[in-house]
Amino acid sequence: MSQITVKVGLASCGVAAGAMEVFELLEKHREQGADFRLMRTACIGMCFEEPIVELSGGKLGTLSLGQVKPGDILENIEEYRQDKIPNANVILTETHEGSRDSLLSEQTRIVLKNCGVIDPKSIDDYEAHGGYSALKKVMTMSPQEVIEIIKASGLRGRGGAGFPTGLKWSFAAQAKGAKKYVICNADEGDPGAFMDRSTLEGDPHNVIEGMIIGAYAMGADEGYIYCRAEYPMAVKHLKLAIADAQRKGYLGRSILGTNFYFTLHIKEGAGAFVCGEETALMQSIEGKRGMPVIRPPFPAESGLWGCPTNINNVETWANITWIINHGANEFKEIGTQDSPGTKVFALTGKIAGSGLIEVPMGISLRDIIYKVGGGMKSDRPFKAVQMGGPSGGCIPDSLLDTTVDYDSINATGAIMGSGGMVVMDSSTCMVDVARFFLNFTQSESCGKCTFCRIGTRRMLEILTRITKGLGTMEDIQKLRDLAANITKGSLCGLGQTAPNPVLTTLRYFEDEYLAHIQDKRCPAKVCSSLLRFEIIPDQCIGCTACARVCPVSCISGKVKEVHLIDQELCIHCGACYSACKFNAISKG
Amino acid sequence: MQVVLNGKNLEAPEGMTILDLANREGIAIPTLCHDKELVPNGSCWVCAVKVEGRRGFVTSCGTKLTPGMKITTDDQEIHAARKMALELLISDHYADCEAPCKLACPDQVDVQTYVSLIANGKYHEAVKVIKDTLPMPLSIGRVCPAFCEVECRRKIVEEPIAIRQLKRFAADEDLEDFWQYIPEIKPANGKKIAIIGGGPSGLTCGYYLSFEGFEVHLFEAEQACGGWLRYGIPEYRLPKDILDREIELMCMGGMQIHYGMALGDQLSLSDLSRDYDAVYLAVGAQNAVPMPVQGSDLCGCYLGVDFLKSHAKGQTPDLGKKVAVVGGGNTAIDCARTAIRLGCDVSIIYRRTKDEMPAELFEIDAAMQEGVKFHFLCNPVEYSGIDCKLNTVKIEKMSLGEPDKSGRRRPEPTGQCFNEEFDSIIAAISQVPEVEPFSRAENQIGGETLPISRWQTAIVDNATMYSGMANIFAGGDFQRGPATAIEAIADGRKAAEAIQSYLLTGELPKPKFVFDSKRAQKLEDVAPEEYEMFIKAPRIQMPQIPLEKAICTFQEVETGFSEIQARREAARCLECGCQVNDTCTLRSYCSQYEVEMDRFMGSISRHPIDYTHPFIVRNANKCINCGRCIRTCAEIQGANVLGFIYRGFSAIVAPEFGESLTQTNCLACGKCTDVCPVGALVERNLNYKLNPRPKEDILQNCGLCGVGCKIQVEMQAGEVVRITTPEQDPGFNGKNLCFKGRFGWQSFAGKLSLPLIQQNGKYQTISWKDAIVAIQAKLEQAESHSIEITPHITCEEMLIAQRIADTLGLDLRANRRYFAFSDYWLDLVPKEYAFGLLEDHNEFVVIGNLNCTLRSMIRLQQRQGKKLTLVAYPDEPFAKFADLKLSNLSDLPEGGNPLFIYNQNRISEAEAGHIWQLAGSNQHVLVTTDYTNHGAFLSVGARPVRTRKVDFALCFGQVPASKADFKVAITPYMPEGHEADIILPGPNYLEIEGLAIGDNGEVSRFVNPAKSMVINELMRVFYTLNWISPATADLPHWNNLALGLLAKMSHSVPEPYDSLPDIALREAVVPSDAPIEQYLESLYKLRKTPVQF
Repeated sequence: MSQITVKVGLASCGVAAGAMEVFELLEKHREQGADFRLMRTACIGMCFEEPIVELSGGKLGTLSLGQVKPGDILENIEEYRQDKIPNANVILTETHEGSRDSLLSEQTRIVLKNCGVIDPKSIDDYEAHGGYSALKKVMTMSPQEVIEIIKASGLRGRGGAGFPTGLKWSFAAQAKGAKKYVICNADEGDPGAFMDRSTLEGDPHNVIEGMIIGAYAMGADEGYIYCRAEYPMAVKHLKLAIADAQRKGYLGRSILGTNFYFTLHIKEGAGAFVCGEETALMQSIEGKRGMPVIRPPFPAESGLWGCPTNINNVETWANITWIINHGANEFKEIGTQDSPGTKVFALTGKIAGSGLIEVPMGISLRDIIYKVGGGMKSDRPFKAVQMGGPSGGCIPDSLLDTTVDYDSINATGAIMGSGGMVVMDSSTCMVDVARFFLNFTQSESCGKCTFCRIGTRRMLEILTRITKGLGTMEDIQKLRDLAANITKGSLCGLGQTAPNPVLTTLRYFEDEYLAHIQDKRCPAKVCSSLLRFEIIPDQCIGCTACARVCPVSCISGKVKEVHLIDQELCIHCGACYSACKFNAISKG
Repeated sequence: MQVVLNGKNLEAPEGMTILDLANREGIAIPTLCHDKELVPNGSCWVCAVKVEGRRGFVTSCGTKLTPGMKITTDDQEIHAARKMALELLISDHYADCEAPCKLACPDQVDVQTYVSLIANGKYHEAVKVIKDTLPMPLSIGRVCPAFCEVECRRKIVEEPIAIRQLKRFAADEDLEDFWQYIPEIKPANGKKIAIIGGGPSGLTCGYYLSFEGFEVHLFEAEQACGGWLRYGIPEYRLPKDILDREIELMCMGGMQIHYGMALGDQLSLSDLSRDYDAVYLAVGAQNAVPMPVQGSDLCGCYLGVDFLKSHAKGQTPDLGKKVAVVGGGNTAIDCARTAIRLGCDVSIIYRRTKDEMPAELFEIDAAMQEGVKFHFLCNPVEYSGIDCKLNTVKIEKMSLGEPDKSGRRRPEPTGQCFNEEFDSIIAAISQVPEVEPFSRAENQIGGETLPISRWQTAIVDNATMYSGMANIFAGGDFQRGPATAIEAIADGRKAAEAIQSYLLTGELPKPKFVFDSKRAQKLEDVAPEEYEMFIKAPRIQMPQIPLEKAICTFQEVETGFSEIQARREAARCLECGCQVNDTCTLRSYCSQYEVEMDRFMGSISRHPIDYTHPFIVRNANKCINCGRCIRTCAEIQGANVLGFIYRGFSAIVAPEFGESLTQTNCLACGKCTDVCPVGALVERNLNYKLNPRPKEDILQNCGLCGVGCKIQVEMQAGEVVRITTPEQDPGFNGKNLCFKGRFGWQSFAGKLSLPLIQQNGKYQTISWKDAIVAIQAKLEQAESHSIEITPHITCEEMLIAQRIADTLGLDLRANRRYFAFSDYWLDLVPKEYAFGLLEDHNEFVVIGNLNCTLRSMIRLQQRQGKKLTLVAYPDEPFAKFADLKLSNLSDLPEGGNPLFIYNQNRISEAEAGHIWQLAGSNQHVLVTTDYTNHGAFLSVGARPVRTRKVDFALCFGQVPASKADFKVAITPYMPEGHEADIILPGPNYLEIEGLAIGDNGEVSRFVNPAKSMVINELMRVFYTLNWISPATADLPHWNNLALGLLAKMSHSVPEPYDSLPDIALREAVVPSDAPIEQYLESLYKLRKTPVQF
């Protein structure tokens, strides 16, 4: 009987869920002589099941346990050793009979192929899984040939806009200049998005290898990974990976014995959302305040320190090795004709299976939510999905059969964006959602363009007014006018897309706006100023629980008598509603 | 390349932006953030245009043309977007274009400006400003209820500025001034105007029209003019001799007054309308509203207006001993205080309480002090008398109910009554115009009657006072009902403007939209925290005659401010109106696009105004985040003291950590104030309270170093108050000036005004005459002389010095320090654009420190891709721009064809020698100096001073270098550290009309903007001493000679460079010794010292 291998997912999501405790316990146990191989890996995507422990090497094959508790794990391993299905939350089995297998079976893993599989801190493990073979292959080709492969693959930039990567590379390759740069944009800032973090935490070498290949193809000798400082584990793994790659001759002078020379730096961003915009990102690397600058000239012509520069996002770079290894044709077989390949999404919100997924382009939103994501978290019906983060838009139920590709998503008014997907159910107020996203973008505006700096603030103020029941019909027109000019009159994507959540909610949920303005009512019962809390006399038993929690003491009533809320004094905080155990308070 | 601009095919060069092309084609595109010297920023978006195929708008400043580009620069969508951009900017522009006092004044008097002029001691000028809109400051300065003071922001600090009293002060000063302000009278235009009524409104209308060249006939029913000012305002508030003098002044434009002429009696409206080109009816509201009380027909019952008028005419009725006055307005108070002065026992009966009284508080208090009793919450309901003579007044007690329409609580009868005995009662309730005559046939025109409202007032258009009937205009109380004099004046002025336009253009003036940004609609809406930085300074109390004297005479109670009091009071003004409200780009676009200030009202970023820098006021409330200051400071000047802080809506321009500019590396070059398109960064003057009023701009050159930048000298009241770069006609220096050029002249406050003589080791001021006597005495004994010049003076002064030397049979001499080995090879050919030399080179090697503006000009060249090497450059912010930094000239790589640049006063001669050797036969060396007139200095052929001692030495610009028994220096400043026997004040570059030849032959012109006479005084000295002939004691003579010198220089050719002369090169640096340098130095140090407002 071969030795059992125990792998613990130690990405940020796992650690946050307590995986480190499990790992330390196992490590201590193994040091004391327990007979299993202990390995670390990163995130497999099912963040909602963390901590996840994978067991392999036994007769049962590979199986994964979710929501592992430190108290049970040793027993679970013992059961596995005895070829018994552990008495635990088995989420994946090799035979696809586990409860969560369908979540993976609908996925196609190119970018995340190694995530949750290999030890991200081990270059050897990466190499054992075919790492750096693409680079070796590339070294036998001419740079032009490499660009041709990427062009032929049809890969489009995964940062959001979907610009053909091969074409972008060819611009940088053709640009005149002795010095060129490649940059990896890892400044993931959308609320609810964590694709880049998981990728970098789980498989840093894949991104680095992609960048080395890109640098070779474009003739760059220096590169930067611009990563948020708030991603300490990603930064740590990247630093280690760069040092290891250097040690093994994949980075630095005469890479793999050739004349090719490439160094890679990490620049930690200080948390400004706008630095995800390529020109602002380069300003930030140069040590200036991260503010976008006018294009053209585009970075390919004049980028970092005025040199030709190519910027791709983490996911784009992470596709490169697979394409080189498998060829452009195989890549094109995945996805749609105009949007080949896969797309990674971060599923969050009111969805059962929140986490990271990678699906082939062309899949419908319905399949993502109901098959891959496991449907809604509660029994409340689906209402909308926000795609593309704060720059994206809300797609309603009626458009759930939209397929995931750049053009179809754009047609809905949302954008593919980098891959955040926030699922909302009927308990979400769409005006409030628009307000939430706009609040984010307006506070993250760099302050340069008039429309973005002041216009988004004014839109936010109008939305806030509406959620307080103080909106007028004129406000709707003002929102539309502001949105139009902010979109047309901003230098960078932040401003150009900031009104999207408002525009799409106005497009698909105008009735909710009208309910707030005309009827002074929030249909989703979210906007507290518009809520009216009342005690239902038939249900109230006079337990006084509501009166005791009311912060303004506006509930009167004696014990065992029906209570009454003074509507004049009520501040709509909802404390009574939560405190009542007898559903005796109505909200509406 | 070919592009299409608004449908027109055009040829345009590579690299041109849409904005440049539009400008070339005369198409105006607004822009706030663009700056020619800087890389386009594209932040304001008011320059938005559309390009076919491009999504959304593009910035025209930042978009370069591409072949075939199709551009639309304006359409409805673009217009709406620009307007929205402006509305958004304005929604967060927490600032006042105009001062609230001005806006509060019914007549829009520019209070802030005239108050600042008073603070600066310019009273005559202040009156000029007042009379632009208000021709009766003597009267209004005494009687105005001062709407302005109600809105004065100083109230937030402690008390409002005493604006009314300051106005009176300036007017009183001007009245006694020989050069009393009387506007220029325009030539007669042949149009005749009739004005009915000689009150403030009629007089004002006549005043403005008569000075505009109209023939004005004013008809007054009484035997004297002034209207209510004469017959309503008592003597103790407005002495009638003051009023007479004011009216006399108002008639200086030719207005003819015809007394005893009343409409309806001697005059008919139809005749007037026919005989005159326009008629202005300002008949006032003459009729008192009677008190509807039983018994008011008794003897001893008077109406307020009638009583005051009778008194003014000297026909005071006998009031008896005990007098009641009914009413709470100013008229009631005037009646009461008049009755007090007549020796009566006076009570005011008023229906409400003191708080509701419409009279001015200070008037009420004065009445109380003078002994007037007050029956508040009382109302007379019945008068009864004996023998038809008033004896008893039945008074009902009142209580206050709900507020009425005016916001005052309504008095309600209580039914409780009491009786009080009075000998007479004066009811001062209200007045109405006499309108009966207008319905008569002779006052109708073409069967039409003048439109009259149900309040018995004329109905007119509020902007033009036009009645809508024929050529008839009407204003003042006649259209308002009883109001204030200042409102009547405002109507009169508006009517004058409208009549002028109506008669000269055939049309009434159309209202022009002028945008006004306001911090708040009312004083109460202003946040007090923003005023915490101001130190409390209580309002100066107006001096008054003693109370015991006041109550028994009609002498004027207020005696007026002293000069010290007035200036101190005026200095309290917080300068709320924007300094640049006339030149602000944002405001002009907002006016052009008819921006609505509150379309996008929302939260506003508020910041305290930073007054800590002595030369620059930083007001972030006005900032529009265009970043021009930041970029200029960082990228051109190098100081890099400003940046954006915070994000999103809160993003704002500030020094690091938002600290004071004085705590930064600010070079006080002031360029940020020059590039700021709004009033967020404005200059300050240490010695002058600046104001928004447009100044007289005079262009000349700076005379503080050899660069000779072109400057715009801004004059107010004959004084230089600001220096900046010329906006319309920029010089080679563009918007660049150094600290010296922009602010350094403020040290001229330390200038000499009279000659000094040294006695017992101390300098003493003497008269010019005594100075001549002292010099003459010495000259008589002197046998040997030395006449010297310096390079700090103009060509004219050099030529005068040369003439003096000639007269004395001498060679012109100069201190050895001014001569350098390189003088032989300098290009002295006078030029208009000497620094064009920089454009001809692609590589610059700068050795040692350089003049600040020249530095900026080199930097701008470098930004076009040229190479800059700095050698032995001081550790200064500019050094970071170097492409190559060397500590030693010998490290300079060989090759290339650089232009070597150095300042002769800032490196040693030995170093300079090394440069010339390196430059070799190319001679590509630009030598700059700290000397105003180095070029002419070398051309006039002065020779180094001799070592032999002389009896008498005279030097222009410094103390003589010769050893001499008696030394005379001619210099604008005290030359500290040098001993002279006599110092004669000389002109500086703002005090003489003259020429200078700066570095590389750049010609500087000075125009004497301040009209100084100092050079004339000097010439008087010279011809008295027989050094020059009386015929030549006239500056134009020397101006001509200076032009001749220039012409001669144009033939001079630099000697061919061969090798360095065989002389020892000085190892020591020879800095400029111009006496002003030390004054500039100490002023420069102030930029690091925080100051208070």
